[in-house]
Amino acid sequence: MKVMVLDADYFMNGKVPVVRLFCKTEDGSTVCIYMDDMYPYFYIKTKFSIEEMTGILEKITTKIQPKPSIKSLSEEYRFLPLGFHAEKTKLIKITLYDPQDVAKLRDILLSEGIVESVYEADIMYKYRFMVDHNIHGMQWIDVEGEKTWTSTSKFPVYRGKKIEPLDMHVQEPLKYMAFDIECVSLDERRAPDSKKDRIIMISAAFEPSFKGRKNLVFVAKKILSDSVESFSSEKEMLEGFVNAVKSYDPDVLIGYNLNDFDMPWILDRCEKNDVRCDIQRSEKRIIRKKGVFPETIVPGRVVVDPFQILKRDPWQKFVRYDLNTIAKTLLNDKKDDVEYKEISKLWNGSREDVLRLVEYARKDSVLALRLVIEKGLLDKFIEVSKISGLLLQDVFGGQTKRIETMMLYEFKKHDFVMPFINKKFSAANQNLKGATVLEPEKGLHAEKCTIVLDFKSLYPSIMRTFNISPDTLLLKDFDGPHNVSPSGAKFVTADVRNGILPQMLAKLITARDEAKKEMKSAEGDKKRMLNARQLALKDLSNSMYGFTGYSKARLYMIDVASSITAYGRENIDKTAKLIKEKYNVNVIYGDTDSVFIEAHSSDLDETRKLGEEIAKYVSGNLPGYLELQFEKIYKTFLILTKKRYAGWRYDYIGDKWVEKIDMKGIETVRRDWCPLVSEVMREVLDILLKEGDVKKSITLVKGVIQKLKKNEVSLEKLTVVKGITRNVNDYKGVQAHVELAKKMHTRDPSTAPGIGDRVGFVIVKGSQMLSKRSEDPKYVSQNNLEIDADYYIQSQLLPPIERILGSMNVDRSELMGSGRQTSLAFASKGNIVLTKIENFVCTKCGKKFRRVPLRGACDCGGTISMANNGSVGDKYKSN
Amino acid sequence: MEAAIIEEFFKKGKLLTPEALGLLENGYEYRYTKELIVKQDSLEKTKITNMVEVGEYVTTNDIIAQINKKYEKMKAIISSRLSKNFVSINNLQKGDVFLIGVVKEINGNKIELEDPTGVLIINIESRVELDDVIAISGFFDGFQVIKAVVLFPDVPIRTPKKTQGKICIATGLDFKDAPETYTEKFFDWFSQSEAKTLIAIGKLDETAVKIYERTCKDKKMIFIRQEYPNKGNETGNANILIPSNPCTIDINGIKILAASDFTLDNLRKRQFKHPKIPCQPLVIEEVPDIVVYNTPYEPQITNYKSITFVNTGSILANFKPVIIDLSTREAEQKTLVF
Repeated sequence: MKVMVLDADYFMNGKVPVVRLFCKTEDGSTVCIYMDDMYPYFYIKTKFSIEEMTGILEKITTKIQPKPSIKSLSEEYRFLPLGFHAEKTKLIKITLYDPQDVAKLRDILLSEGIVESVYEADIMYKYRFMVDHNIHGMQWIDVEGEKTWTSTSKFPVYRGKKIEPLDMHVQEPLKYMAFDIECVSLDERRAPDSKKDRIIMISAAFEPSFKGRKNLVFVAKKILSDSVESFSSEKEMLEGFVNAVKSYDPDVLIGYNLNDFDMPWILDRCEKNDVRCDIQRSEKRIIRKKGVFPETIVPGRVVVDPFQILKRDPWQKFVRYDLNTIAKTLLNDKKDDVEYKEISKLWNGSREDVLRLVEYARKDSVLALRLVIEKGLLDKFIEVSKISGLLLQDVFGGQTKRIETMMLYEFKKHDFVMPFINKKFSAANQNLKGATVLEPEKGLHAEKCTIVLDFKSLYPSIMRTFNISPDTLLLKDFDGPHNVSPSGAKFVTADVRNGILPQMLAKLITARDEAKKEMKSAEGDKKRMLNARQLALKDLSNSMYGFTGYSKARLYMIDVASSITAYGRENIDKTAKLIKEKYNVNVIYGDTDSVFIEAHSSDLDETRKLGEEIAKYVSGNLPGYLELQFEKIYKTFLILTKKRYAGWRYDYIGDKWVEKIDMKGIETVRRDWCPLVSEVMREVLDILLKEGDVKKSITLVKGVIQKLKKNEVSLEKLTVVKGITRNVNDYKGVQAHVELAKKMHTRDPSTAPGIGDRVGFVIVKGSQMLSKRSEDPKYVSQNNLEIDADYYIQSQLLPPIERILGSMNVDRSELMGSGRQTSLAFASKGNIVLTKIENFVCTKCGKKFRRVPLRGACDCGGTISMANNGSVGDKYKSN
Repeated sequence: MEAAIIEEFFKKGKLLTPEALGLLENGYEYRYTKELIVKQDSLEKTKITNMVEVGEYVTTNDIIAQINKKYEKMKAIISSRLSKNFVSINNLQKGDVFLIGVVKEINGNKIELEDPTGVLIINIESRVELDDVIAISGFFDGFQVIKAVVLFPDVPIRTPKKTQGKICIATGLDFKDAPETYTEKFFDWFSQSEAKTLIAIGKLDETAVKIYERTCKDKKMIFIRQEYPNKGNETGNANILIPSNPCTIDINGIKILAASDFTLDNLRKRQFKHPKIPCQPLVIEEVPDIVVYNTPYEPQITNYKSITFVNTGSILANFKPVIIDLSTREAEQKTLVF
């Protein structure tokens, strides 16, 4: 029988642990496979013999209540993982009956100092089983076994005799159910509370459909309609919902922010109403985990929260993460237009009102489902599961767990043992020197194009090239062939021992190349799956390095991590030197794995040719797998500081140039900025990048300041909008929008904003503290109040603008129109060329020098520039 | 066979081109190969070291690097010439002290001396210039350095170095402003002189190049442009070399320092300045045998510790080109009337 592994747990059948695999058959039905062919175990390194150890264990186990039963002890030879060992080491394998006894026995062995070290003593039993049977999450397996009847499962059970992993790649036959709740607060002045308030509706959406329906809304009120399941009470509605889940039997439960809201509410309300919320697939309880990203574990099913997935995605960022914004951005759709404070009114209103609310609720679960299905949010995680071995439910966390599990499989194959990580005594993070960031040539580079080149998977390439791995690190003198890293650590070469991390990387990279190759000819779902696969492979190979430099990771070895970064630094310096020497160009910035070069001209085609040539030349001159790639061209490039820059990017796509503005570390939109700031920021960047005109941008800002002073800017552009998320009296501290809400409530409680509303405010002139001077824009225009121009200039507009123009040494006083005369010249620093050097000036304190001091800096620490007749610059050209 | 032929010709002061050697080896008579045989003294070995390399732009960082380079180079020269235990400014202790620093400011007899560790005000008697790197010997009483004496590295006394060949030196060759007839006359004179190489400082223009090419076919000209610091030969003629200003020229082992501005003081201080370019570490690391300088435009030949200083005036006014016989080191002023 061919089945796919979705989830797993175990239970004890008397003394025997039974692993239960929740699987899907090819036709999409759910089955459980029970396996009882394996016992939990771990390894110890000790000077004692098996006989001596047996005696010791007999004695010390009496200290544990109940006393663990040890099944057997055996001698095994394994490679130790940290440091290079030419030979395998003799270890004792202790096999027990109950998985829970592993930790107990391990702890006492360690605390009594009986063993030198323990290995693999903290591997979850289900993973112990999966690793030993070489089964990964979401993997298809072939099961030999008989059908059996048991009270421990709600689904058909097969007692497996033999299971074999299959090399089968088909679309997973998964069933998805998204849901979303609506609740009302009994007291409108406070936020709803699951202990006191009721759920009034639960909407659900299905893929594939449930009894012919794409979605359903469960309503806790009798109402006549085809499109709803109506119940007479909240309790009945909850029962109806639980029954629907059981009957539909989804593999994946979806909800937008369900881990932090919908799921806890349903569990709390079920408890309150005495409803058994047994929506899980086994007798094990639903678990709620708290934390930054709360989690709900529904045994046998996978819980997916698109909100958390998007929030944790390092590759795409959104201004807001509410469902409406996300739906607008990703699905080009939006929530139905019902304001939060209307919910209660609609619920208590006419039939039509309730039905409007039903449609509003329906949309929420539909959108959540669409995000997962249409945007393929799960694709990557499914692939990570297949590659790393983790069960799907476990892949939503960090990279550490993924890599650790992947390694466990690999270690097993190569006869290595995995170190045990003692959480109580884990090493302190030692100071790991990071990557090189070449000091940027700050300012605007507008005369010539900027070429950006970057290294293809820099750290993985370094690890492969120099065979860097915890198991190749030399801990003692070695006569054989080895490399010495720039940080001084020594690693045996690959012909002595091909390091386990480089080997894994090679596999990941080859697999990624294959997926990418296959992707070219693939279409539809297959293409989407392959793309997710190659992205997952990329993430995994890129995070392998971090695994050696993170003190809580199992293979934490500072020498390994620092060797990788040291090679990285050496590499970037070497690259900059190679480029400078051969091409006589200026390297204006470099960061970890990329270099920015000032090209010879402003011609795009010529620059592209040069970029490609440089990439080829450098790659040809670097060892092993290190490869420099031509990445992009910036026609103009503005760099403020390390890691903060913007550029007018040109990409050659098809057979024409496509342009866009690229930004890193510079933002033009922020929630606490008024629209005016964003608008001016964008314009300033546009002028700088597209016209290269610093003066013009200064003039623009000056103009805006004048307008603000003369009160000529529309209120709309000055309005900052913020949401009220709880009762206004529950806010600690003084916040402008909350203060305004309070003020509006005293003016007219009927129109005052409540919980869930968004409040727009402007700051008006006055003597009170700032947040008390927030005012409703409508009220401002009706009463002809004066806005606080100074606040908008000094606190809103200038700080972000100054960050940009400051890189060209334009300061606030200059923008305010009272600046020193030199600053205009400062403005074009980076471009301005002096034809005479009158003296030198500190760009920080303004102190003048006849010539540069020997130490190259001012006493105040400021940098020194050349000056002539009020012009200041860093370049001089003799005529 | 080959070695024997070379040896025999060498004894006669003659060198063979590979072509001539080939012909002689194959039994050709000497007279047939005559044209291919060169006289040893006509084969000068010339090596030029450009003392400044100014990029299109000079950045503040370049200047910081230059001033530090100058300090380090001078420190090395001073330390090798005066074997004293030098201390840094922030490390002064009571007693006799020796310091090396750059003159930061001058105010009467007071100077501010700067080294990478700090700045110190010292009273001195000697004449120094801004940015000179100097050594100071004195007594530190806990507050200030008293009895300060400025020490210059100076140059050692040597016996004059000699080699074969004759060179012509002409400074103040302002061809740009001079009438064409002057240029004609000068090159005509040079073409007939015994010197194979001309070392010149002045202003070169196209006309002058054309005249030179026409009149001085088998000669070599090393022309230092007084107006440009950088090297660069845009004439396209391999017999015209345009090094940087200043530069050093090594002719068969004799070192010639050529600079538009130079004084005896510069030699004693082992450092000098260029009026056009700021903060170049113009440090005289190797002691020259001949110094050729342009200003003031007065014809004169001076000697200082076996070093010959040559200035030939100006082609526009008083002009006396000089021929130096490198085998005797005799310098002879010629008079050219235009």
